Amino acid sequence: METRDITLSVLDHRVLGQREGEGHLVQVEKAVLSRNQTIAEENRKRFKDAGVVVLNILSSPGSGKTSLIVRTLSDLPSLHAAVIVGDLATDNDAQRIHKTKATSVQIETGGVCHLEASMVAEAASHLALEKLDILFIENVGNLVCPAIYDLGEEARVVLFSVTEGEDKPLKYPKMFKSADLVLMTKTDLAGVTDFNLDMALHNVQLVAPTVKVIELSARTGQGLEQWYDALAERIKHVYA
Amino acid sequence: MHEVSLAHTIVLIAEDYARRNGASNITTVGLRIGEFSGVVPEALETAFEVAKRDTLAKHAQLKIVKVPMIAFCQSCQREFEVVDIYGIASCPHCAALSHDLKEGQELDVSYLEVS
Repeated sequence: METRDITLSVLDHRVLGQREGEGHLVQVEKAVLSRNQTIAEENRKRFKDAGVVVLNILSSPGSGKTSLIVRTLSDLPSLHAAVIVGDLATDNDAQRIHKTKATSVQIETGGVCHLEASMVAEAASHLALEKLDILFIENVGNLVCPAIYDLGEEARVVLFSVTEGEDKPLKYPKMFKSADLVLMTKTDLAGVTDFNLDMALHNVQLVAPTVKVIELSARTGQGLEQWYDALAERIKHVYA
Repeated sequence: MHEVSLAHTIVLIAEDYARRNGASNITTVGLRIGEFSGVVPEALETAFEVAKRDTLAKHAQLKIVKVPMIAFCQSCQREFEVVDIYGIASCPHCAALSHDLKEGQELDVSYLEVS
Protein backbone atom coordinates (compact mmCIF):
# COMPACT_ATOMS: atom_id res chain seq x y z
CA MET A 1 0.00 0.00 0.00
CA GLU A 2 2.70 2.48 0.97
CA THR A 3 4.80 1.47 -2.04
CA ARG A 4 1.94 2.34 -4.31
CA ASP A 5 1.57 5.70 -2.61
CA ILE A 6 5.25 6.51 -3.09
CA THR A 7 5.13 5.45 -6.74
CA LEU A 8 2.18 7.74 -7.29
CA SER A 9 4.07 10.61 -5.71
CA VAL A 10 7.00 9.95 -8.00
CA LEU A 11 4.72 9.98 -11.01
CA ASP A 12 2.96 13.13 -9.82
CA HIS A 13 6.27 14.79 -9.45
CA ARG A 14 7.57 13.78 -12.80
CA VAL A 15 4.56 15.46 -14.29
CA LEU A 16 4.93 18.44 -11.98
CA GLY A 17 8.67 18.61 -12.63
CA GLN A 18 8.16 18.63 -16.36
CA ARG A 19 5.58 21.34 -16.07
CA GLU A 20 7.27 23.62 -13.58
CA GLY A 21 10.84 22.52 -14.00
CA GLU A 22 11.43 22.21 -10.24
CA GLY A 23 10.73 19.97 -7.28
CA HIS A 24 11.77 16.40 -6.78
CA LEU A 25 11.27 13.44 -4.54
CA VAL A 26 13.76 12.23 -1.94
CA GLN A 27 13.35 8.69 -0.61
CA VAL A 28 13.97 8.57 3.15
CA GLU A 29 12.50 5.39 4.68
CA LYS A 30 13.76 6.14 8.16
CA ALA A 31 12.10 5.33 11.48
CA VAL A 32 11.47 8.51 13.43
CA LEU A 33 12.69 6.76 16.56
CA SER A 34 15.79 5.27 14.94
CA ARG A 35 18.20 7.46 16.90
CA ASN A 36 16.54 6.52 20.18
CA GLN A 37 16.60 2.88 19.11
CA THR A 38 20.32 2.98 18.34
CA ILE A 39 21.12 4.47 21.74
CA ALA A 40 18.77 1.96 23.41
CA GLU A 41 20.68 -0.92 21.81
CA GLU A 42 23.96 0.60 23.00
CA ASN A 43 22.51 0.85 26.52
CA ARG A 44 21.32 -2.76 26.38
CA LYS A 45 24.78 -3.96 25.37
CA ARG A 46 26.39 -1.89 28.12
CA PHE A 47 23.98 -3.33 30.72
CA LYS A 48 24.49 -6.89 29.46
CA ASP A 49 28.29 -6.55 29.51
CA ALA A 50 28.09 -5.22 33.07
CA GLY A 51 25.83 -8.13 34.09
CA VAL A 52 23.08 -5.93 35.46
CA VAL A 53 19.36 -6.59 35.08
CA VAL A 54 17.58 -3.42 34.00
CA LEU A 55 13.86 -2.99 34.48
CA ASN A 56 11.80 -0.15 33.05
CA ILE A 57 9.07 0.55 35.61
CA LEU A 58 6.01 2.18 34.07
CA SER A 59 2.58 3.29 35.24
CA SER A 60 0.13 6.16 35.65
CA PRO A 61 1.10 8.80 38.19
CA GLY A 62 0.35 7.50 41.67
CA SER A 63 0.18 3.77 40.99
CA GLY A 64 2.91 3.09 43.51
CA LYS A 65 6.16 2.86 41.54
CA THR A 66 8.29 4.58 44.16
CA SER A 67 6.61 2.76 47.08
CA LEU A 68 7.23 -0.59 45.44
CA ILE A 69 10.87 0.21 44.71
CA VAL A 70 11.51 1.53 48.25
CA ARG A 71 9.86 -1.52 49.80
CA THR A 72 11.79 -3.88 47.52
CA LEU A 73 15.10 -2.23 48.41
CA SER A 74 14.42 -2.40 52.14
CA ASP A 75 13.18 -6.03 51.98
CA LEU A 76 16.22 -7.15 49.98
CA PRO A 77 19.17 -5.38 51.65
CA SER A 78 21.77 -7.69 50.09
CA LEU A 79 20.70 -6.70 46.60
CA HIS A 80 23.16 -4.39 44.87
CA ALA A 81 20.66 -2.03 43.35
CA ALA A 82 20.43 1.41 41.82
CA VAL A 83 17.50 3.49 40.68
CA ILE A 84 17.23 6.01 37.88
CA VAL A 85 14.21 8.19 38.60
CA GLY A 86 12.51 10.20 35.90
CA ASP A 87 10.18 13.02 36.84
CA LEU A 88 8.88 16.10 35.11
CA ALA A 89 9.98 18.18 38.08
CA THR A 90 11.10 17.80 41.73
CA ASP A 91 13.41 15.17 43.17
CA ASN A 92 10.93 14.00 45.82
CA ASP A 93 10.94 10.40 44.58
CA ALA A 94 14.73 10.32 44.49
CA GLN A 95 14.75 11.65 48.06
CA ARG A 96 12.52 8.76 49.15
CA ILE A 97 14.85 6.27 47.48
CA HIS A 98 17.88 8.06 48.91
CA LYS A 99 16.76 6.91 52.38
CA THR A 100 17.50 3.32 51.31
CA LYS A 101 20.98 1.96 50.65
CA ALA A 102 20.60 2.08 46.90
CA THR A 103 22.23 4.70 44.72
CA SER A 104 19.76 6.88 42.91
CA VAL A 105 20.16 9.20 39.96
CA GLN A 106 17.50 11.77 39.27
CA ILE A 107 16.50 12.79 35.77
CA GLU A 108 14.36 15.89 35.75
CA THR A 109 12.94 15.89 32.26
CA GLY A 110 11.92 19.54 32.47
CA GLY A 111 8.41 18.89 31.25
CA VAL A 112 9.18 16.11 28.78
CA CYS A 113 6.55 13.43 29.34
CA HIS A 114 8.77 10.35 29.01
CA LEU A 115 12.34 9.12 29.38
CA GLU A 116 14.45 8.61 26.26
CA ALA A 117 17.39 6.28 25.79
CA SER A 118 19.88 9.19 25.70
CA MET A 119 18.72 10.41 29.14
CA VAL A 120 19.22 6.92 30.55
CA ALA A 121 22.67 6.65 28.95
CA GLU A 122 23.69 9.90 30.64
CA ALA A 123 22.21 8.88 34.01
CA ALA A 124 23.81 5.41 33.83
CA SER A 125 27.23 6.99 33.29
CA HIS A 126 27.06 8.10 36.94
CA LEU A 127 26.64 4.50 38.13
CA ALA A 128 29.16 1.71 38.70
CA LEU A 129 27.13 -0.74 36.61
CA GLU A 130 29.54 -3.66 37.13
CA LYS A 131 28.86 -3.60 40.86
CA LEU A 132 25.09 -3.81 40.45
CA ASP A 133 22.69 -6.75 40.36
CA ILE A 134 19.76 -4.67 39.29
CA LEU A 135 18.91 -1.23 38.01
CA PHE A 136 15.36 0.05 38.25
CA ILE A 137 14.41 2.82 35.85
CA GLU A 138 11.39 4.56 37.30
CA ASN A 139 9.86 6.18 34.24
CA VAL A 140 7.72 9.32 34.23
CA GLY A 141 4.22 8.52 35.48
CA ASN A 142 2.35 8.33 32.18
CA LEU A 143 0.76 5.43 30.33
CA VAL A 144 0.96 7.01 26.88
CA CYS A 145 4.27 8.53 25.83
CA PRO A 146 6.82 6.24 27.55
CA ALA A 147 5.28 3.25 25.73
CA ILE A 148 7.10 3.96 22.48
CA TYR A 149 10.59 4.70 23.84
CA ASP A 150 12.93 1.75 24.25
CA LEU A 151 15.48 2.64 26.94
CA GLY A 152 17.63 -0.46 26.56
CA GLU A 153 15.89 -2.29 29.40
CA GLU A 154 15.76 -6.07 29.71
CA ALA A 155 12.09 -6.03 30.64
CA ARG A 156 9.17 -3.66 31.06
CA VAL A 157 7.16 -3.82 34.26
CA VAL A 158 3.80 -2.04 34.13
CA LEU A 159 2.00 -1.22 37.37
CA PHE A 160 -1.78 -1.04 37.53
CA SER A 161 -3.30 -0.13 40.88
CA VAL A 162 -6.72 -1.07 42.18
CA THR A 163 -7.49 2.62 42.73
CA GLU A 164 -7.59 3.07 38.96
CA GLY A 165 -10.39 1.95 36.64
CA GLU A 166 -10.65 -1.70 35.61
CA ASP A 167 -10.55 -0.56 31.99
CA LYS A 168 -7.04 0.97 32.15
CA PRO A 169 -5.59 -1.74 29.86
CA LEU A 170 -8.28 -0.99 27.26
CA LYS A 171 -7.61 2.73 27.44
CA TYR A 172 -3.83 2.31 27.16
CA PRO A 173 -3.37 -0.88 25.12
CA LYS A 174 -0.04 0.20 23.66
CA MET A 175 1.52 0.30 27.11
CA PHE A 176 -0.01 -2.97 28.31
CA LYS A 177 0.88 -4.81 25.10
CA SER A 178 4.51 -3.76 25.56
CA ALA A 179 4.66 -5.12 29.13
CA ASP A 180 6.75 -8.17 30.06
CA LEU A 181 5.20 -8.21 33.52
CA VAL A 182 2.11 -6.52 34.96
CA LEU A 183 1.94 -5.78 38.68
CA MET A 184 -1.52 -5.23 40.11
CA THR A 185 -0.68 -2.92 43.03
CA LYS A 186 -2.41 -1.68 46.21
CA THR A 187 -4.46 -4.90 46.41
CA ASP A 188 -5.03 -4.17 50.13
CA LEU A 189 -7.35 -1.36 49.00
CA ALA A 190 -9.42 -3.46 46.59
CA GLY A 191 -12.29 -3.85 49.09
CA VAL A 192 -12.44 -0.13 49.80
CA THR A 193 -12.62 0.90 46.14
CA ASP A 194 -15.07 -1.83 44.98
CA PHE A 195 -12.47 -2.71 42.39
CA ASN A 196 -13.51 -5.65 40.23
CA LEU A 197 -10.26 -7.62 40.12
CA ASP A 198 -11.58 -10.31 37.79
CA MET A 199 -12.69 -7.75 35.25
CA ALA A 200 -9.35 -5.93 35.48
CA LEU A 201 -7.40 -9.18 34.96
CA HIS A 202 -9.67 -10.06 32.06
CA ASN A 203 -8.95 -6.68 30.45
CA VAL A 204 -5.20 -7.16 30.85
CA GLN A 205 -5.53 -10.56 29.21
CA LEU A 206 -7.60 -9.20 26.31
CA VAL A 207 -4.93 -6.67 25.44
CA ALA A 208 -1.85 -8.70 26.37
CA PRO A 209 -2.85 -12.39 26.23
CA THR A 210 0.54 -13.80 27.23
CA VAL A 211 1.67 -11.39 29.94
CA LYS A 212 2.25 -12.60 33.51
CA VAL A 213 0.39 -10.70 36.25
CA ILE A 214 1.36 -10.52 39.93
CA GLU A 215 -1.06 -9.07 42.50
CA LEU A 216 0.64 -7.31 45.38
CA SER A 217 0.55 -4.65 48.04
CA ALA A 218 3.74 -2.78 48.90
CA ARG A 219 2.04 -1.61 52.11
CA THR A 220 1.02 -4.98 53.60
CA GLY A 221 3.60 -7.08 51.77
CA GLN A 222 0.95 -9.32 50.29
CA GLY A 223 2.16 -10.94 47.03
CA LEU A 224 5.67 -9.47 47.26
CA GLU A 225 7.29 -12.93 47.42
CA GLN A 226 6.18 -13.58 43.85
CA TRP A 227 7.67 -10.26 42.74
CA TYR A 228 10.95 -11.05 44.49
CA ASP A 229 10.98 -14.50 42.89
CA ALA A 230 10.52 -12.86 39.50
CA LEU A 231 13.48 -10.55 40.24
CA ALA A 232 15.64 -13.44 41.47
CA GLU A 233 14.82 -15.41 38.36
CA ARG A 234 16.01 -12.58 36.14
CA ILE A 235 19.16 -11.91 38.16
CA LYS A 236 20.07 -15.62 38.13
CA HIS A 237 19.55 -15.53 34.39
CA VAL A 238 22.21 -12.83 34.03
CA TYR A 239 24.79 -14.78 36.00
CA ALA A 240 24.02 -18.10 34.27
CA MET B 1 2.30 14.99 24.14
CA HIS B 2 5.37 13.09 22.97
CA GLU B 3 4.22 14.31 19.53
CA VAL B 4 6.22 17.50 20.22
CA SER B 5 9.49 15.53 20.53
CA LEU B 6 8.54 13.41 17.56
CA ALA B 7 7.73 16.42 15.36
CA HIS B 8 11.10 17.93 16.24
CA THR B 9 12.87 14.67 15.31
CA ILE B 10 10.92 14.50 12.04
CA VAL B 11 12.10 18.01 11.13
CA LEU B 12 15.73 17.05 11.92
CA ILE B 13 15.50 13.95 9.72
CA ALA B 14 13.85 15.93 6.91
CA GLU B 15 16.48 18.69 7.05
CA ASP B 16 19.28 16.12 7.05
CA TYR B 17 17.98 14.37 3.93
CA ALA B 18 17.18 17.68 2.20
CA ARG B 19 20.72 19.00 2.75
CA ARG B 20 22.26 15.74 1.54
CA ASN B 21 20.29 16.23 -1.64
CA GLY B 22 21.26 19.87 -2.02
CA ALA B 23 17.74 21.11 -1.41
CA SER B 24 16.90 24.24 0.54
CA ASN B 25 13.12 24.04 0.63
CA ILE B 26 11.07 21.07 1.80
CA THR B 27 7.51 21.16 0.49
CA THR B 28 6.20 17.81 1.71
CA VAL B 29 7.17 15.32 4.41
CA GLY B 30 5.64 11.91 3.77
CA LEU B 31 5.01 9.85 6.91
CA ARG B 32 3.85 6.30 7.47
CA ILE B 33 2.02 5.95 10.78
CA GLY B 34 0.74 2.66 12.12
CA GLU B 35 -2.75 2.53 13.66
CA PHE B 36 -1.03 1.13 16.76
CA SER B 37 2.03 3.36 16.74
CA GLY B 38 0.99 5.22 19.86
CA VAL B 39 0.93 8.47 17.91
CA VAL B 40 -2.10 10.67 17.30
CA PRO B 41 -1.74 12.02 13.74
CA GLU B 42 -3.75 15.19 14.48
CA ALA B 43 -1.53 15.98 17.48
CA LEU B 44 1.55 15.34 15.37
CA GLU B 45 0.29 17.71 12.66
CA THR B 46 -0.27 20.45 15.24
CA ALA B 47 3.18 19.88 16.76
CA PHE B 48 4.77 19.88 13.30
CA GLU B 49 3.40 23.37 12.58
CA VAL B 50 5.45 24.62 15.53
CA ALA B 51 8.52 22.43 15.02
CA LYS B 52 8.96 23.43 11.37
CA ARG B 53 9.35 27.18 12.06
CA ASP B 54 12.71 28.64 11.02
CA THR B 55 13.80 25.38 9.38
CA LEU B 56 14.12 24.12 5.81
CA ALA B 57 10.68 22.58 6.37
CA LYS B 58 8.97 25.88 7.18
CA HIS B 59 6.76 25.63 4.08
CA ALA B 60 6.27 21.86 4.34
CA GLN B 61 3.03 19.97 4.68
CA LEU B 62 2.75 16.54 6.24
CA LYS B 63 1.28 13.76 4.12
CA ILE B 64 0.34 10.84 6.32
CA VAL B 65 -0.35 7.30 5.17
CA LYS B 66 -1.91 5.21 7.93
CA VAL B 67 -0.84 1.58 8.22
CA PRO B 68 -3.51 -0.84 9.49
CA MET B 69 -2.83 -3.07 12.46
CA ILE B 70 -2.09 -6.63 11.35
CA ALA B 71 -1.76 -9.53 13.81
CA PHE B 72 -0.85 -13.18 13.33
CA CYS B 73 -3.03 -16.01 14.63
CA GLN B 74 -0.98 -18.96 15.88
CA SER B 75 -3.89 -21.41 15.67
CA CYS B 76 -4.96 -20.51 12.13
CA GLN B 77 -1.43 -19.67 10.97
CA ARG B 78 -2.69 -16.60 9.19
CA GLU B 79 -2.64 -12.85 9.46
CA PHE B 80 -5.68 -10.72 10.13
CA GLU B 81 -6.47 -7.03 10.42
CA VAL B 82 -7.27 -5.77 13.89
CA VAL B 83 -10.25 -3.43 13.71
CA ASP B 84 -11.02 -3.25 17.44
CA ILE B 85 -10.71 0.31 18.78
CA TYR B 86 -8.93 -0.96 21.91
CA GLY B 87 -6.40 -2.89 19.86
CA ILE B 88 -7.70 -6.25 21.09
CA ALA B 89 -6.32 -8.67 18.50
CA SER B 90 -9.01 -11.33 18.34
CA CYS B 91 -8.82 -13.64 15.31
CA PRO B 92 -11.96 -13.26 13.14
CA HIS B 93 -11.79 -16.99 12.25
CA CYS B 94 -11.22 -18.69 15.60
CA ALA B 95 -11.56 -15.82 18.14
CA ALA B 96 -8.17 -16.63 19.70
CA LEU B 97 -6.31 -13.63 21.12
CA SER B 98 -3.01 -12.83 19.48
CA HIS B 99 0.03 -11.13 21.00
CA ASP B 100 1.93 -11.17 17.73
CA LEU B 101 1.69 -7.87 15.85
CA LYS B 102 3.07 -7.87 12.33
CA GLU B 103 2.21 -4.34 11.22
CA GLY B 104 0.68 -1.19 12.59
CA GLN B 105 3.45 0.08 14.88
CA GLU B 106 5.31 2.00 12.16
CA LEU B 107 6.38 5.58 12.59
CA ASP B 108 8.55 6.37 9.59
CA VAL B 109 9.54 9.28 7.43
CA SER B 110 9.06 7.67 4.03
CA TYR B 111 9.87 10.47 1.59
CA LEU B 112 10.30 14.21 1.08
CA GLU B 113 9.35 16.50 -1.73
CA VAL B 114 11.90 19.27 -2.08
CA SER B 115 12.65 22.14 -4.36
